Amino acid sequence: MNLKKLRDMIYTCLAYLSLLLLIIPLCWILFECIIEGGHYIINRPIEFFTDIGRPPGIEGGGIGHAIQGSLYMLGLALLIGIPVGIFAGIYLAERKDSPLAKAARFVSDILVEFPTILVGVVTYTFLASKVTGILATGPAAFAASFALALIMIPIVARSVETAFLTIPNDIREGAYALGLSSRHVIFRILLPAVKTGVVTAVLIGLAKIVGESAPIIVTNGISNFWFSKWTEPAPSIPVLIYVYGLSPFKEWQTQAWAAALFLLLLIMAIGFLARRITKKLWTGV
Amino acid sequence: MMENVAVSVKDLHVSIDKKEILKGISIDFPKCAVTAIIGPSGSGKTMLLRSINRLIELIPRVEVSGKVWVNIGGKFHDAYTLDSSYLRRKVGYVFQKPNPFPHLSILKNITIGPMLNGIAKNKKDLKKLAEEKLKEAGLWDEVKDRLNEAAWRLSGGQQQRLCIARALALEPEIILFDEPTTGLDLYNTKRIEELMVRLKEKYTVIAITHSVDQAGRIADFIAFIYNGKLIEFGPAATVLKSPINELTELFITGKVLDGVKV
Repeated sequence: MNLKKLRDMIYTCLAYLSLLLLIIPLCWILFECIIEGGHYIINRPIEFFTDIGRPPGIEGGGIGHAIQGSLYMLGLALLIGIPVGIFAGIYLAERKDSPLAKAARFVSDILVEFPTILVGVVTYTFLASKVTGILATGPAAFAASFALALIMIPIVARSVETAFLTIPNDIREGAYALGLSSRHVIFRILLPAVKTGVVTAVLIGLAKIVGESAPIIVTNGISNFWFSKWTEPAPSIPVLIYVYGLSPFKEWQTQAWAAALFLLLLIMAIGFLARRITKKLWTGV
Repeated sequence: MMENVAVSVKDLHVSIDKKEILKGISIDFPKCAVTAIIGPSGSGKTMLLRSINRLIELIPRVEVSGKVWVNIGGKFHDAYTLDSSYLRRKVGYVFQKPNPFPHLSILKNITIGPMLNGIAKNKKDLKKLAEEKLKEAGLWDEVKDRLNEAAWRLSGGQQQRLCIARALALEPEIILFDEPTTGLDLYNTKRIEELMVRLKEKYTVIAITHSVDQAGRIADFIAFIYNGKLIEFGPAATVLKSPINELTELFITGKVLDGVKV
């Protein structure tokens, strides 16, 4: 065997090894969740997804309240985060030299790297704190949504910006050459041209916030009840995993594993959906 | 101003980032004729063309002074006080590289301009308009069975004719071409040249061309631009056969012009 072939083989092996290192942790976590919590979902599927948690020592119960709470929180977060993120991203791309865009880009770069727990603290202090907050509600679900939206916006904005910057400039010029207004050029020509990128941007943002627990704990506190009001604490899946997982009770720990399995599958499903939608949108031109 | 003039440029200065690109150009482009703009790269041909329909305003830090008068519907308008949207509809632009909207269908590429500009609203009118313009651009027979296919599936030459049809769909009176045959094969080049010549029956054609031969084939008038200045302008035959200026002669015979000061 000559040296070239040998080197080729070594590099190929290294590539496979890195791939393995990438896949092993994911498989290991998934495996662990299935072993520890899978049986709970299989044995009590309806109860697990629809029922509220039980006190320690009493068997049964589910994470229905946390799913409901998460849906509310994420729903409001998306309602704020998607339009703001997309508009900000478009502004960053289409007015890239304006002072406002430069400032916004700087701020969003910091926000992306910002510890999410601090986003929670800031949101809580400004909005919900009974002492300093504008709305002075104390820990509340809406504050968690705002924090999640704040975490999501810079990610969506920068991804949308990147998507817009991939559009060749001659497409933009071609649209202006038809006498179209900026509004038409951006929303009728450019946005549809990168709709796949925009959908991906939103899904990346969603994947980021769906598993966040720290900012929720800081802004919303911990709740083991059904969602009732925006101005009161609500339960959520990541926080439930945190609380149940750290508890000394066997039943809670099992349910924490089961909830983790559900969350993991959910995030994988979002990723899968992103790929499917992206494909479909592109061939659907 | 004379009525057989389509575009009248008066003392046009353009600078980008304080660097002067066009240094006082005055020229009258004749109506319903093909005028070719020739000159070496970097001489300001594209800037001159883009200042006619104000596409130049998309360039950051650009400064334009002087006057551009465009003859629309028999009346002269100051291009820079006219609504830029209306100006660009009446003065179409075809780019060097074909730039159809890749995510839109062949049909939609043509109808989106008239639709968004409110020229035609209902689907039937739009489709009729598209057919008419595709025929005018000599593309209809090739695409009539695949109007709903994505535009990027067309070949380069077809894409360029689609872009011409797209400009025609806005019912312009003047069409600007920026080296429209760059990168196309001989067959497609010939077809687009023939199209430009045919278009002058209804429209005024102003075309930048990189080749003196092409200018000879299509142009009624030739303008030679060098270093941001108009060096020579006149009937094609005169400019090509007996140019007045020495620089023009050097250029059309393929001599090096670098470093020649004007």
